Amino acid sequence: MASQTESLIKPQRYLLHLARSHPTFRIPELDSCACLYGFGIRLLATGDYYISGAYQPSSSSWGHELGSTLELEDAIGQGDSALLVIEFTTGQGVYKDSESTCMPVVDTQKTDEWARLLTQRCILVKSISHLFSPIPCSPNYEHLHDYMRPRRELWQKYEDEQKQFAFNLTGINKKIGFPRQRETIEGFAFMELTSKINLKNPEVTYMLFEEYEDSSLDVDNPDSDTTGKGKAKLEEAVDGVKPLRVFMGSLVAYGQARQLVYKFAVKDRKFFGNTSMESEMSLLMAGQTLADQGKLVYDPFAGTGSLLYVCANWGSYVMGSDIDGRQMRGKDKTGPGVFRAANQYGVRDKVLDCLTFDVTRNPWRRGELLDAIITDPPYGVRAGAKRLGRKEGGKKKQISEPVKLPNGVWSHEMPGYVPASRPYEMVDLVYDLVVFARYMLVPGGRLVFFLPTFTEEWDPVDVPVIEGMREISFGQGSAQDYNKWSRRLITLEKVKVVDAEGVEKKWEPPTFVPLDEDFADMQVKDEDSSEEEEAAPRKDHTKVPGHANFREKYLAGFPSSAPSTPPTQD
Amino acid sequence: MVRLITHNMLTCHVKNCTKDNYPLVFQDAAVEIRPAEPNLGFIERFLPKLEWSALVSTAKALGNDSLPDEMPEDKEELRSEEFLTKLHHVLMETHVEEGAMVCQGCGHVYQISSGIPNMLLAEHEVGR
Repeated sequence: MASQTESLIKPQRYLLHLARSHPTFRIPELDSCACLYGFGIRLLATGDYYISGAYQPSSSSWGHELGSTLELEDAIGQGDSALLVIEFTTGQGVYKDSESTCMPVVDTQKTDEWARLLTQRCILVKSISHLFSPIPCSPNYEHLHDYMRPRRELWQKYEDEQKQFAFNLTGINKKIGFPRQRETIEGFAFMELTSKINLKNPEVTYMLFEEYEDSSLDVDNPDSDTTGKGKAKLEEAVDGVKPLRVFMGSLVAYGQARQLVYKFAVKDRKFFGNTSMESEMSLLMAGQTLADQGKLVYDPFAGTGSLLYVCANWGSYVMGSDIDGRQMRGKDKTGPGVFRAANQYGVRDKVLDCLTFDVTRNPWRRGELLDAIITDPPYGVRAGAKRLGRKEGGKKKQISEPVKLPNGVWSHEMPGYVPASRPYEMVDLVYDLVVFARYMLVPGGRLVFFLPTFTEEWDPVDVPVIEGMREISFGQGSAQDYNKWSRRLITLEKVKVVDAEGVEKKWEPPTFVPLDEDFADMQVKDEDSSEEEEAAPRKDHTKVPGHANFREKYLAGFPSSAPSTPPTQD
Repeated sequence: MVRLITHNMLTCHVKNCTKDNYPLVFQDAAVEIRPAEPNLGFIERFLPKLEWSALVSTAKALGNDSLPDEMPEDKEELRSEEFLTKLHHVLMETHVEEGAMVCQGCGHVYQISSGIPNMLLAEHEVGR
């Protein structure tokens, strides 16, 4: 009973073992899961770092205290550690300092259920345990043993019920050989466990984590395997090599969602293209959409449909469109590739339809049809974005009347007719996408997309800010870094805007009118001439975004002595 | 593919085509019925977004007259499993694999091939 009384006062703390890949996506993924299922998460510690107030006094002081949640978000995003300590709160999503009304939840039955939801939904979560080790961690086993000895209540409840147990020792960045594993586990003799050992089906698993210096190997990603020999191998920790820190807990659940990374691996897919997104990133994006049973998710640049399958996997209905129908169909005679791949994953039923059209000339009858828009726009590195119409000032002028061919047939009704298209500049595309999303989404619906950017020129204001769309971002944001450029995952949520009479504002469809084509001409906007942003001409951007003329800069190899204004087009 | 739920959301979008541009009318439609696992909650949530008369006339033209001409006013009936299941069959299980959708206003023919409709506009229909 003693341990029960204690758990009524203090909220259970949880130890999350996370995958090493894409650390800047960790918090967004946890946040989205918590938003979807309606619980709150407070981040407490990672690696050597902890938030003030979370610290537990132990025999020797240890770790670095951080003053704000934002600093901790940065530390988690850096990915130096694979371990994260959290507790659950009321509210929705990951706790922010600005929304400090969330209270810890002490009902362990409830919080265990939430922890299990995280393991079922978050692909970066490898396991979740009840935390035994101190916050932020222990620098070595002596420290951990000293901390645990006076705290028998941590494991006494399992002893009382004579739960059959096992130990599981995980080396991070190093493999731990069997003799060393046994030796380490024997070190826990002070726990005086009298219940039976059961290695096959333990009722309680004591989880140990030893974290070593970073290894550059990305052992988790099946699509990053270039050797063709399967998983890369970790080095074994030899005598004299000591871990940086150790953690311990009792297992709640192993990550169930992580196996989806293998299920959706592009190399095993029946149909894909040279721009298909790797499965792990697709799944992370799908998580951001809050895809779920009975929702409707749409990709306006669907390509080969990579993002549709993963959203459908969470039970959503999905639709895709692309200006280039050949991308969705593929060359195989046995039917369109998108449907074959959907069949392979058992989600054909969920793919409502795939259509060929240019989203700037779209046939949607009305707005507020969609729960989410997910897309990886073609930003022009491997395949540039196109829109219908002819380029202004080009060799041929756009025609406004149909043309009858000498044989009496309208040219556009000839089989194989492909209408003229022109480049779709990234800045236009991104702005249009956000305005389009505000029109098409239901309130609370999300737009999730990749924004490529020249790393040196990135600025948070590059994401279009319009009334009614709110960005969801943690730390420095979520980014996948390449050498001189990166792509940022942007998540925007449509918020209800109510006027003075309490009437919900309805938004107009976007006009898709291009921004001034010459970015060098863009003027710095006068702050006090802040007219209605809808009425303001769009060339009044305050700054040239980091993704302007992305393709030109990419092809030019990103000159590092880039002028403050990017080169003009043509 | 081209389920009737999708068809209900599509309108002709040719430049200056604003009269009789909805609904698009199926032509030479090859209809296929494919059973789909029902999610009646989704159907119920979609009800307020449906264009009912367009759905009924389109379903009739494809040989399904199971739906009443007017959407039932009785809330209980609207939410009944029987009604939603009927609607699920029309919206989610009825596919047009081949054929075309034709605009009654401007006459644009949107071809459907292997279940994928071509909603692209011709150069002179785009506008600026």
